[in-house]
Amino acid sequence: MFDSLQGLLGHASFLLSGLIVTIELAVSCSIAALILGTLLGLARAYGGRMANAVIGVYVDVMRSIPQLVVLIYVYFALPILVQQRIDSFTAAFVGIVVWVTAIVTEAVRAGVLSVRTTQMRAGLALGMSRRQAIRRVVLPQALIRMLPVLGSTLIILTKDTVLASAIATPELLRQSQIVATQTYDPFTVLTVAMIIYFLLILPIARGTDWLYRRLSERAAG
Amino acid sequence: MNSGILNMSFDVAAFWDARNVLLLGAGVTISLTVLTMILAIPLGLVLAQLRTSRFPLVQKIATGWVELFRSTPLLLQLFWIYYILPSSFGLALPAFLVALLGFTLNVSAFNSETFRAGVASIPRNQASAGLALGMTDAQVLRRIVLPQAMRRVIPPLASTWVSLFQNTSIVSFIGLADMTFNATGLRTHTFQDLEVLTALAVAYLILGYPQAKIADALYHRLRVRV
Repeated sequence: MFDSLQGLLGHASFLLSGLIVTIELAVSCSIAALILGTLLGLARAYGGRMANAVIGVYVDVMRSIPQLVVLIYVYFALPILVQQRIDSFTAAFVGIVVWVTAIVTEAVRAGVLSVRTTQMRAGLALGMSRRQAIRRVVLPQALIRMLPVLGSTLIILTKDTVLASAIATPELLRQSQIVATQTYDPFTVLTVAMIIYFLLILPIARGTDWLYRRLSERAAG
Repeated sequence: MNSGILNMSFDVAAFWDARNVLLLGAGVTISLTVLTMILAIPLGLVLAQLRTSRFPLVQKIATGWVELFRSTPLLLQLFWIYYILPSSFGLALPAFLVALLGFTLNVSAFNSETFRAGVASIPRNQASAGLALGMTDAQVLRRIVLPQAMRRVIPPLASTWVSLFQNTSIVSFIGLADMTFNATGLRTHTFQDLEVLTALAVAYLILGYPQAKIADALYHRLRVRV
């Protein structure tokens, strides 16, 4: 075991570069999907029947197609549609954001609609505009209820970055596989990768739990 | 811009021709989903029971097991099993069995969490009432707690099913000929990426959409108002 770990040492910087790509991908996709999903979720809840229907079709399509297939589609088929080469990191970013935004959209819509309509009316009665009432009355309450779903969505997103290895994005799993073919010892490098992913994902799970407890306590008190 | 539009042509025949390999792959996709769920429900129940065991060591191992499988990428788990079985146990299983093993281990960890939460959501006084009527622990579990928990367990099981169905697409990484594998194979053969991959997406849409809608319907029907 010790020997095989030493064998990995020479590949440490290579693996580290993969880890950095994984983190870059996870963070940038999380930010983009949270922003887009919030906008689309609000548009679905308050944007009228037309917006609701159109966004609904997008959400249903994404919920029926695997993340891997969306990634492969963006990398291999989309360039033909838009007549433009897409590099593998951009393709991974677009593929993950397009897929995860659908989940966030649904979470935001459900969270917003779970806040009683009387809350919105109270805001309007106080002379707030619709926009103000949504931002200052409805969203803060909805956010607390959405947190557990958003937390698990970010975990799914982080785990799914490994699928980008299918389109040659140099993220941690792909780099680990390359190392495995050089050391002839897939067991060690995959075990190390497993531990790294575990350590990446655990803080997201614990962090959202902690935030949820704090915010719900404050809301209750 | 004009030439771009001219270059882009969609060959409908190539799109339609992809159906044969997709149908072949669909058999693998569907049977893997069904078999995994059949195995992962009882295994999930066992894991959930082990997590409430009287022995702290058993509890810790079961909890760690569930956490490990829930907090690492499924594809990595699959690779790990794929490589460790032959090298450490001398077991060269066919790809389908490797996939079935990997998915079963993964999904049973998620199911155990569903069962644990389902049982925990039943108020404690329900069990106390059963015990007061002279039932044994096992009777209380079987006749009072589980029937009520079932209602709360079915919706999350349904969404696990939907994710499982989609996640089977990763078996293409270990060379198992499911829909995704067959489509990517055809793609490299015909170079008609757009048509073949659109056909793949449509195939998943046709199969996956009803599943997602059934899962939604179960959520609404079985919703417990507190």
